[in-house]
Amino acid sequence: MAERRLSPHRLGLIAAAVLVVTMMALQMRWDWLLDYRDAILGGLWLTLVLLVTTSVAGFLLAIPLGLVQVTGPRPLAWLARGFCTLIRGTPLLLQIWLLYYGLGSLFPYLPGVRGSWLWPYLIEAWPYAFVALTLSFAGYEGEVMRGGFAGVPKGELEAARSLGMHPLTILRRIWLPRAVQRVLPTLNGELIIQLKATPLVATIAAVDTYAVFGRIRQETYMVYEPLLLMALIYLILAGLITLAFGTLERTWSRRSAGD
Amino acid sequence: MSNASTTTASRGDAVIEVENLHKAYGDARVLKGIDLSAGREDVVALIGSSGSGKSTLLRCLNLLETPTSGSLRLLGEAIPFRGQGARRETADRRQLRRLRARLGMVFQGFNLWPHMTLEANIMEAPIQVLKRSRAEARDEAGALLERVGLYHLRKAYPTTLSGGQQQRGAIARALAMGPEALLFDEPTSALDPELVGEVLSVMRDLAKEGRTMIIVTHEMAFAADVADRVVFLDQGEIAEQGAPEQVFGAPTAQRLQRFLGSVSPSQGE
Repeated sequence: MAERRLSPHRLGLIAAAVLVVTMMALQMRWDWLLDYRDAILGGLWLTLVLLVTTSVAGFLLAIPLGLVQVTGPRPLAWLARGFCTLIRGTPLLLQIWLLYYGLGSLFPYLPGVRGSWLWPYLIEAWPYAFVALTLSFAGYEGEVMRGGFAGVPKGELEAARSLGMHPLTILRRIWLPRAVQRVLPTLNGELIIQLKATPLVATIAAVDTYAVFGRIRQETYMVYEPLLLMALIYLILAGLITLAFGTLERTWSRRSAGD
Repeated sequence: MSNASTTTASRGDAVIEVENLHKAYGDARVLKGIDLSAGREDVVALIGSSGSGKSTLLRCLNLLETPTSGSLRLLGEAIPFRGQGARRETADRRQLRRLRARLGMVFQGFNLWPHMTLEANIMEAPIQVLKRSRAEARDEAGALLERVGLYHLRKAYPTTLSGGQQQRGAIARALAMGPEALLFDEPTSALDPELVGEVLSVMRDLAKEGRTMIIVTHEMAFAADVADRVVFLDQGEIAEQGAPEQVFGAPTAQRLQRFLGSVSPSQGE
């Protein structure tokens, strides 16, 4: 392991990275960082919250979306397939705008909405961002989970049935864990795509990482420094996701390497 | 219903009773009117060439396949059906789960759950279905693993085990439910020849202790050795059945004579 980490091409890459970072630190302006520290942290927070909540909620929706496509009944399977096709076939930006500018502008005219407890949330941008990103993730992962469920060997489920297990127990204890295990590598990539989809919410005035750096560029007239730092932030987040999934896969998937 | 062995009848209640059972997939008729019964402590071997319907028949016995027509009694209870053709299904799913819990099944492909340790595989159904405590289930699993010679591998994951070890684990998993009958679907067909013996010896012990067993097998020597009754299936029909000495020693049906001539003497044991 140690030798592989320090192979010549890796040493070269490390040297190049050190050089680039040093040049960036010495040649570029970073004095604005202090002024915008809180804004950047705030944006990063919204990005993380959106990423985590929408992928968790989206994945929970994806489980039934994938399952009914495998088990039926047929009308439900068609509905689920239709939903996934619709979500995957249209731009996420369009979905966000349809929800925010379309649905969002209808709400004030619906009787009773203005007085309800929901109203304070309906005038914010983030609930629309949350719903749009959740539905999008559900659409893509519904398709992934369909494949995951369908790919679990039938015999493993028959063994569970032959022991008198209830269908819901089989789903919870055998089918779902095995399906998730199979789609883990795909989920890793999908989560990174979801991370990189979050900047779209800046178009409906939600202040995420991307929106904060847009503001910095407008106010400071700098081009490269904010963009480079933003790229670094997204790169680190994506790296953390891959690292987490790597650990998950090693501890979890390795056991069934044989299939 | 012909029952060749007189000892079988004296053993009392039928555990499994099948009458005029048919199974078709579309136009393909796989089973054409099977009558079969197994009493307590019976060991029945189902033999026949591939495509004869013997695995389908076994899978009908715990309703992994739904018969197209015919009647089925499991552990003394009649199984009600509803619907027609491909949509036909058991009418009482709760009854079916209750009965399945009392009928163990061992598959050709082992079908252990790869995301659980061997021990957890065996504990799973007792905990989830019989509502045993974890401690209780673990003790029982330990005893069963001891019995099939796998106690030292209880924390291993199935994919790290040999086929023979996996199949012995799968037998332990079926035994953990305390089943009143065991169904074996070609339990040694997926094994390397040198691993067949260890699985057959576990099954032989089970037969000796008076378990009710229905075994679909290609191991003729094993069938002759442990079975009380051998049933020969050909093209979806029972062509001959009787005590092993009679079926193997003096086969009357021509189809059976041809079949026995085509299978090489078993390598088992």
